[in-house]
Order: sequence, then structure tokens, then C-alpha cells
Amino acid sequence: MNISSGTNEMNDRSRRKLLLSAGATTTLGLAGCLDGLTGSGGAGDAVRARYIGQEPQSDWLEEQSDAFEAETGIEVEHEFLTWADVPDSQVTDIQSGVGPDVDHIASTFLPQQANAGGWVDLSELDASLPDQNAFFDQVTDIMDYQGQIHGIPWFWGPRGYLEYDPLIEQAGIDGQPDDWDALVDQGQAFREEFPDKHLYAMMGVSWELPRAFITFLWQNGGRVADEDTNEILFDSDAGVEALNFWKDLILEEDVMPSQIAEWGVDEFDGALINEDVGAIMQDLSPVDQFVEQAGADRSDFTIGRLPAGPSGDRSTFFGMEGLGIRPWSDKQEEAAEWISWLSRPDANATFADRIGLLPTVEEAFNHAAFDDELSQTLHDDVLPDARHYPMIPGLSEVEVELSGTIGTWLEEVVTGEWEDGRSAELLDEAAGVAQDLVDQAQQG
Amino acid sequence: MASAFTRLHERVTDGGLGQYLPLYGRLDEKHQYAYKLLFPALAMMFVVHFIPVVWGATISVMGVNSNYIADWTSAPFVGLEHYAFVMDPTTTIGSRYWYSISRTVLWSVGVLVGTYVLGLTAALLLNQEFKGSFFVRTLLLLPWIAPAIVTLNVWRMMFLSESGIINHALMSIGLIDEPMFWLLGDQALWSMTIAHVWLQFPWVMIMLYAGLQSIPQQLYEAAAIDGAGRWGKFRYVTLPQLKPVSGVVVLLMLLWTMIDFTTPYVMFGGSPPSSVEVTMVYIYNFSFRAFAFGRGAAMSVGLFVVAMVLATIYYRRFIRSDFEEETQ
Repeated sequence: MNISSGTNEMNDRSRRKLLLSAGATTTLGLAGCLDGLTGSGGAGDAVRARYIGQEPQSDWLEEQSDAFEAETGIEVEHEFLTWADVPDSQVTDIQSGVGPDVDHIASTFLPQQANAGGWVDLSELDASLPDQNAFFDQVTDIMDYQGQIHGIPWFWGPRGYLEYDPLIEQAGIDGQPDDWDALVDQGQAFREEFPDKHLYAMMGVSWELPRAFITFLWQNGGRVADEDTNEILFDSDAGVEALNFWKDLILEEDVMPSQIAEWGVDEFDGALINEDVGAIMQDLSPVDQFVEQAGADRSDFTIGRLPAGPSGDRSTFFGMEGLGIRPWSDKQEEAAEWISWLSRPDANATFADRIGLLPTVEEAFNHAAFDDELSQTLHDDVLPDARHYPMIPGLSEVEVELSGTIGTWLEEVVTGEWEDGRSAELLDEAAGVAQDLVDQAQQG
Repeated sequence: MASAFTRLHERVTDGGLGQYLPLYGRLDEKHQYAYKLLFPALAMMFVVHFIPVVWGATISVMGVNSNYIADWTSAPFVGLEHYAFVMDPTTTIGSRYWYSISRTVLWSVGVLVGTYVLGLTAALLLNQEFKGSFFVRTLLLLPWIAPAIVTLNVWRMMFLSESGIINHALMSIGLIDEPMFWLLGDQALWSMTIAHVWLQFPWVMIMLYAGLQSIPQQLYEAAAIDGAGRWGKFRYVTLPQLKPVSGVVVLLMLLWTMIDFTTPYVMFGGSPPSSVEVTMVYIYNFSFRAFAFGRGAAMSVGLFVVAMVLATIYYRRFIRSDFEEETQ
């Protein structure tokens, strides 16, 4: 072997090694990427189920899936998403057609994802699913979008008028307000006793602002949109009056603190816990927190119906979350069994109790966890008032638009920039944008 | 060491990858070698940066909305319709878009001034010999090392009107009589700028500190002989010598702030006050909350063009001239 041929051989070997290394690196890299795309992170035979914001419940879910596997032989793997990741992750999954078998449904995202073919029509599925009559009517109505059943309602959170009785009684207030006038009267009586506190608060975080607005809107006889024609209606006189009443509660009547505009969830719950306000529009979720952190007793609270406006009913908003099956799943029947398992009254009640919200199965209210006065009052008095957005194409887009608009409006109110006519102007502008978004979603 | 380097050189130059580059054959061996070393990084940048940019530009001319999430390729071609829609200042969306651009530019300039002044001051301080300088240097890096989410949430809590420490401090020294809203209205832009300056100034400080270390001591000695005092040395030696590194710092800080999403999103959430609804947040909401991907992509391309135009002007005016001067 001469030197020249030896060098060539070495060069060939070097080239081969370089190419081999590059190939191996690329293969490993692509395998890593594809693993994320195909979502084959778990065992191949397991049903993959994903939940939004429920990581603290992972132990309970594991317990349930162990029992489920022991009975059915079906393994379930759990994954968790934060709310911040929902839009990106769920959209990406629908785009790529890969992801978990069972996924979490947020009611306001349902029309978008249903239009995009993101959910299996459960009525077409050859699997045993819970009887629709077992659930409250309002929640099944939401899942029944455009003639298809997109999921099973899991839990919901109608807001009531939640008050801390010791403060309210000290202010000499008897009973909860039936209408807006009574709310103002009680608010002023409260201020007389507690000049540094306010009677009532609503959450000012972005996603709650449109819900607070439409609650006032419904109470004043207005409508968000027409479900048959998809026409946006929230910019009606009833809507303008609703905003102006809200503004008066803050600026004129001192019933509501202006700080709500910068409060996050913690500050909002903290306002009740720290006794800065006497009542809030909320579900029962802060009660246990109050009991744990401030040593209060559940009997110190009363929940009741929200007041009616001059032209409407005592309405309140509820958010609802459910579980559905993705169309790309090759384990749809097994996935349906898992959803059915979680919908048993006992499991439904236990889970709702753990997260401080309400079960969607009517029978679950007989569970010991809901056998207390607060829960029963909520069931008997507040639930019949509970309403949701109209399920129109582009609903979540409309909610985003309303969120920005009400945020701007509230900011102007509390910083003193609000002027006469501004409520109507902003609602009008938002309605134009919202109508365009609905039309876009409708056209496809 | 040298032999290991030589072997690496040989392996890379013999890899044969360069033959796929245009005009590769005309390059000398040194430049061929350099391109081969750059190849992995360029390939990664192609995947991470170039493909999304092309994808974004593509969907900006397609009617991609919530109905086409599952199959965006079937969305109709709409030409420049989205651009006309989002850039028309007479429409609600268009006026909001341009307003968000103006807030972005204002914010970026504010951050730039703040980080540069604070970074330069800190760098000058670190450039002095004093006891405990290592400790101070570490301390000054903390805002940059600490997780941004934590830092920004702490700032948010400090800015709260009722319970925040800022209002308590201002009231206790008598500067204000009643609590101010720092997270609402026009003040929100100040709050966001202060928080972002706090996060970013250590990076500017380190860059300028490195620049200061590279200034030859002889220049200061010559200036002293010419009668320059402290200010004279700073004005005629330090600042001109820092010009190249300052050029890079200014350009990068401007671009990074224009495309920053973390600070406004963490401090103000998805629906920020209008004064801090910078373009990145507006585009995110439009695309990922309102699912108007086509229009959102058109807005992104618009922001991309604005940033590139600013960067190009700045580069031509300041950075390139510096290099040309050095070459001459």
C-alpha cells in the first residue's frame, strides 16, 4: 500500500464517517420532531386523554384510570394543558390531525373546532355513552351544535351573587338585591357602614369582562346575537344601558371598586377573602379558599340569584367544559368508555367538588359533596337563571373582540377618560368587527 | 491541539458537502472551510426561521380562518386582500393595527434609551477597580438570569394601585396624594417599559463592559496629556470607542423589543390596556384567539417589513459606516 492510496482510503473513511454522523444526527433529530408530531409519546395501546388546567387533579385521575383499567382492561394515559396553551395546541393538533384521543372542550371554542372538523359526532359513534337526559338541559344544549353532539358535559360554573354574611349583616342589609335599584341602595347602605369598602365586585380579568357585560345585558333584556340569523345584537340600547349602569356602579354610586379593572383572579378572590368587598359575582370556588385561608365557615356565605335589570330577567352566565373525542383517534370506542366512566354521577360529583365547580349530571347533586345549603341553593335558585353565549360560528372570535372592547371601556371609566356616548360608540365598533368575524367564520 | 484541529479541518473539507453550494468551486479553500463550518447552523436557521417566514407570507395571501384549521392548503387565494384590510387606517381593525405599531415603536425607543443609559452607567461602574466588584457584577446580572415570568409578575404586583409598593412609596414621600393606576391608561406604557428595561439592561451592560475593556489605556493617557478631564475622556475617547459595540446593541435591542411578546403578555394578559397593546400581542390575539390566521399573517409581514426597514436604515447609517471607516 503506497502513501497516496493510503491517504485516499483515509479520506474515503473520513467522508463516510462524516456522512454517517450527519445521517445519524439527522435521523435522531427527525425522530425527535416526528415523535412530537405523531404524539406517540405514550404506550401504543393506551387511550390518550388530555385535560386543560387539571394537573392538580392528576392523582385523582390516575386513581380513576387504574380502577377503569381494572374493570375494562383499557389503559388511559393523562396529559395536561395550561389555559395559555389551549389555542395553539388544540389548533395545531387539528391542523396536523394528530394528538390525544380524548380532549377537553372549552364551550366557547366549540363552534370553531366543530366547524374545523375537530370533534367526533358522538351520536354517530357505535359506543355506549351516557344518556343525554342525565345532564342538565343547558349544558347538553351547548354540546348539541348544528345538529351534532360534540362532547359530554363535564362540569360547569354558573355565577351567583355570593356574599360574606358577617359584613353584610354588620351593614344592616337584609336579603340580597332583587333588582338593580336594590343593588344600588344596598351598596350605599354598605358604604355608610364601611366607607373604605365596596358592596359588590365583578372580575376584571380579560376573559371575564365579556361575561360580566353579557350578564348585565341579559338582565336588561338584551341579546348577544341571533342564533338563527347570526346577527350581532349586543350593541342595542339594552347593551348601552347595561354598560352605563355598570359605569354608574363604579363612578356614581360607589357600589363597585374601580380597582377591578386591574385585578387578576387572585386579587378578585382576595378582595372577598380580605373583606374589601361584601359580595361578588362568582361561583362557589372562592368559598373553600376563604374557609382555608381566613378560617371562615361555609355557613358564613350565602349565594343567590343575580339582580334583574329594568327590562330583563335575573340572568347569569355559566361557563361549561366537556370531554370529546378527536376524529383521528383509532380508539374511539375505548375513548367513549373512558368519558362514560367519568360521567358516572359519583365520579362527576367528586371531580366537580374537587375543583369547586358544579357537576353536569343532575343526579350528582345527591352526592354528599353537594349536600349543603350553599350547593342546594345554587341548584334550586341560581341554575335556572344560567345562560351561555349563543352558539354561533365565530363565537370565540366574538368573545375576544368583546373582551378587548369592554377592557378598553372599563379602563376609560376608571381612569376618568370615559365621556358621554362612549359606551355606544365602543359597542357599535365592536359589533361591526364581531359581525365581520362571524360572517367570515360562516362563509368558510 | 493543533493536530486535532488539523484533523477536524481535513474531515470538514473532505466532507464533500460544499459541492452543493452555488459558486462553491470559485471559493478558496479557506472560505470553503468556513462555509462548511457554517452549514449546520445555516441549515437549522433555514428550518427554524426561513420556513416559518415563507409559510407566514404564504398564508397572508390565503383566506385561512377557523374553518381551514384542519386543512389550510384548501383555503382560497385572496391576493392582497388581507393587506388592504388590515392596513386601511379608516377601518376599525386597520386603525387598531397602526395604533399598535405606533405603541410598539414608542415602547422600543423607550426601552432602548432606558437600557442603554442604565447599561452604560452600570458598565462604567464595573469598569472601575473597587473592592467587591465581582459581587456587584454578579448582582447586576440577576435581573437577566432570573426567570422573566417571575420578574414580570413581581413588577406587576408592585405596580398594583392599591396594594402595590410603588404607590405606597410615592405616597409616603408625598409625591402623590392618592393611589395611581400604573397598569391602566397611558401609565401602563411606562410600567411596561420600566419592567422591560429592568429585564434587559444587564445584557447591554455586559456588551458595553466588554467594549470598555477593549479600549487601549494609551488613548486615555494621550487625552490626559491633551488636558482632557473626566468628561473630556468620556466624550472624546470612551463614547467614540464604544460606537461599534453600541451600534450592535442598539440594533439588537430595538429589534428584540419590537418582537417581544413575553413582557406585555405576562404583565397584562391577553387583553391589555390599549396603550400597551403592542403589535406582537395584537397579532397573537388576532391569529390565535380570533383565529384569523390569514389577516394575522398579513399583520406579521407588515411588522416584519417595518422592523427590517428600521434595521436597514440604522445599519446603513451607523454600523456599515463604522466598518468602512475601520477598513479605510
